[in-house]
Amino acid sequence: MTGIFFAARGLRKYLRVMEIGFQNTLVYRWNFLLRVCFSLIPLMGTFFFWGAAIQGGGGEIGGYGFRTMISYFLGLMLLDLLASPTEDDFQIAAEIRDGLINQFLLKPVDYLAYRFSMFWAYRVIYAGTALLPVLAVIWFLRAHFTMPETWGVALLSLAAVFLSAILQFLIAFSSALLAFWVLEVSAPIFIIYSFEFLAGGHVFPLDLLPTWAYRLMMLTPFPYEYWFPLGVFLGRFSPEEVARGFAMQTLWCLAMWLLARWIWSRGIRGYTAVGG
Amino acid sequence: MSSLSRYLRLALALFRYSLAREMMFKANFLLWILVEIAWLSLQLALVGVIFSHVTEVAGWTKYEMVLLIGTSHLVQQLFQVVFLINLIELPENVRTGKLDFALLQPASPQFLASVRKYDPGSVVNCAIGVAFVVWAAWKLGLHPAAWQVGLFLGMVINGVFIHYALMLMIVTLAFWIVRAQGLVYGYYNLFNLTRMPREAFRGVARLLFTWVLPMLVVANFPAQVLARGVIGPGAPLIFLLTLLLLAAARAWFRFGLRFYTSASS
Repeated sequence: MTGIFFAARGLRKYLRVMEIGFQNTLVYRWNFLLRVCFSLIPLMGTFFFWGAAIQGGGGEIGGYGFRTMISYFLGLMLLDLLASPTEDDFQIAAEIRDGLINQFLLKPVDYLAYRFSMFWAYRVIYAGTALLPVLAVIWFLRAHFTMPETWGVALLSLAAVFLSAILQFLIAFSSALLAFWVLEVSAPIFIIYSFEFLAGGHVFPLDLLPTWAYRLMMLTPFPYEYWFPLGVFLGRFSPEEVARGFAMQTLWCLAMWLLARWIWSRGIRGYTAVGG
Repeated sequence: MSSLSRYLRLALALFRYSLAREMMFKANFLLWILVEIAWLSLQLALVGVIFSHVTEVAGWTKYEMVLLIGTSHLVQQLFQVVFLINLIELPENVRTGKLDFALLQPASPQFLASVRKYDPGSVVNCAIGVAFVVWAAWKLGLHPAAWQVGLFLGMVINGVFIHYALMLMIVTLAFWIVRAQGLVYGYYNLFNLTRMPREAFRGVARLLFTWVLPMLVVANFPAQVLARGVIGPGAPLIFLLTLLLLAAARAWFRFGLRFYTSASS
């Protein structure tokens, strides 16, 4: 019992961190709204472009009709809102570069746990601000949007989204830790993003790829960030594939967590604080 | 000494300065080129994947799409060589008062704010864009006439000024909006559309993105000239439209400048 008591006390400080995260981010809520409104423009492009592509395929492309394809990208928009890190990696890199992590080395606050709490705070504010416009767009395009067939599928989708958020955070965190070794970390991060987008199914649904390429991508963690939750949502997987997918998603979360911890320990070892 | 030659000499001096600075950080220089290659690869991968299932999208065949994307990339990278960094930095310069540098020197504030820093790395990216255009043209068996190439280049430069006018209008909002990171994001989202075939768009959307926010003109028109020898509908008007956009952007910028409070008061 005492173990749980002490654990609860330890966790309480992260709730406080989340509070701070809320306050920090609330100021930016108009920025978030602006970002979401602007992201409607590429969505328009997606709508017309894929419409033309599917027409070129005589009404379907790789097993996707227009409705399923639009549902994919609308679902992606929702997924980004709920689960994608916004500025977390650049903030982490800046904190390392500016020596602001010193305070974490001296206090009993685990930096990864701290940033994880901040991540959820940002998600809540971002999603809270932008959910209405996104839902309005989905409502506007509801003729082209497929809802999950059953409540079971909906719940599974949410679970996959939750795990995807954790995975996206851990990958962003690990990427940002490059700041221990590289001064200008934005370029490597953008290169990693491009891999994430391609292999994750952010540019196009992954099962449009030829089988060999699909299998290759599925060896990476990236499909479990976007493709897997969306596939569950659209019902594109068999029950066995869903079960296997969840297992893989969980394993990748664990693997990325271990990687993050390992990179952190290596980074800290060579870390020299500037000023501070 | 004419005013134009003065500005050209100034621009050249600024370019040499920027190049010298970039060469101090060679690894960084190469990395940013890699970033652009990575994102271009995404666009080409999309084309590859789609055309493994279909043979044409809105009347554009596979290598016509590659030519379109190459053209879009060329225009964007050309814009990036000269103008982009400066316009991205404008909101920050407004916020911190650093925009003073543009106001206290004997040259047009708009010129100084727009052309201060160059991105020589993007010259390499332009070359990559050209390479894909040439490769696509070869695959399509094109033998463009001199007028096609000339008009292509003219429209490419026109496209750069469309980027410039619209982005200047967007970042001018920084004179009123304090936290302006969303603005740059807006630019990227808007110009996402330049690599899409115009014919895919229907109705109001096509009119809007051709005649008001001419994203669908930037790369589509030059690509069509080169690939099909077709001059888009109302092409001469497009040049006029760009001049109008530039004039509007200039007026808007000067209006915003009136609200600027400098660092020292």
